[in-house]
Amino acid sequence: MTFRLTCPVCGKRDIREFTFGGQERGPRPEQPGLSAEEHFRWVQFRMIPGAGAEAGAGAEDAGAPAGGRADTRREWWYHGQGCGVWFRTTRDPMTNREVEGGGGQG
Amino acid sequence: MKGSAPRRSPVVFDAAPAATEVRDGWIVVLRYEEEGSVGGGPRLGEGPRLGGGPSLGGGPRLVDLSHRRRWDYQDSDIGARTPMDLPVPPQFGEVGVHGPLVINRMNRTQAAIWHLGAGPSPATPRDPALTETTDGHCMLAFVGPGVPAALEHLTPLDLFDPARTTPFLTQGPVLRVPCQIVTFAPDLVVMSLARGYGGPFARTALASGGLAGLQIAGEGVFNSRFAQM
Repeated sequence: MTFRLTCPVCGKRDIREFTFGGQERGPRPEQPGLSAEEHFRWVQFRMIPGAGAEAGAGAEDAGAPAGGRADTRREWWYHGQGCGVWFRTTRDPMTNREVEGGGGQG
Repeated sequence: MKGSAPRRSPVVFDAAPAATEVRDGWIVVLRYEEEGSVGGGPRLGEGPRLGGGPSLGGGPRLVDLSHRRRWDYQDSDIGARTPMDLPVPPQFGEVGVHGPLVINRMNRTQAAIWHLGAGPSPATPRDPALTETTDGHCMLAFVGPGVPAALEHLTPLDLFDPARTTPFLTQGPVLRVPCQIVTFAPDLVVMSLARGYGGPFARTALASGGLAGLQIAGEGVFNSRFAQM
């Protein structure tokens, strides 16, 4: 199975040119007063595609829609076989398609 | 580099040079024996000759340009800079040809400058944003009729998109190796890649491109074609 991503420099390219860099998880929490649990949740928890809010801490993560189902998510990708740029895009992991307007941003 | 040890290209063609010259410590092959014969140039892919392929007359030729000087330029405000007195193309993927020098806009902050024309290369200006990368890269040119057919054996990239205005830059995999590729015309494509891939890359390109008649040639073939740009 293959699909294409939109690199902000090179345009649409085959997924095999890219390396997945993980979900966008928002800014790192402020260090003063940061508890071990809060830090752990920021580092470890991600949205689970198709999972309800009860399935984990996913709904608390950046980009999780209300209602718990992870329809789309922000992701980091690296165009290692091309221009070498890291960028973010919004993609629906259920269809592997970028959402409209979700093309790469540096 | 005068007076220093000879510089060696990562690409070695197993063919007899007919004309060479020493330039900045490099031994540059201007022409190989048999090169001039129609369809009779040496095929140097490793292993058995692949298919042979029909003679394409003066078909696509692979030229080693690793001795050509190259620079990277990086600046957060690159659009306002003129490295080596060259205007930086405003859009990613655009290429400017200014006499013997070519400047490629790579991304928001970087451009590459290649010396591809005839004559001596310019000295590297004292500019902290400029880095000479000649010795870290391999550079190859694909010249002649049949270049698109040869490159179709090497990469899934569309290097001849009619919607783009030549010359243009593509950054992507050729033989799975990340390359900077400039399409000057359907019969002239130049690519730069990391030096460490150079030898195996050239051998594999000849083996795979040989299916479309790809053969080696000396620098003279490239010089003649680039002079028409």
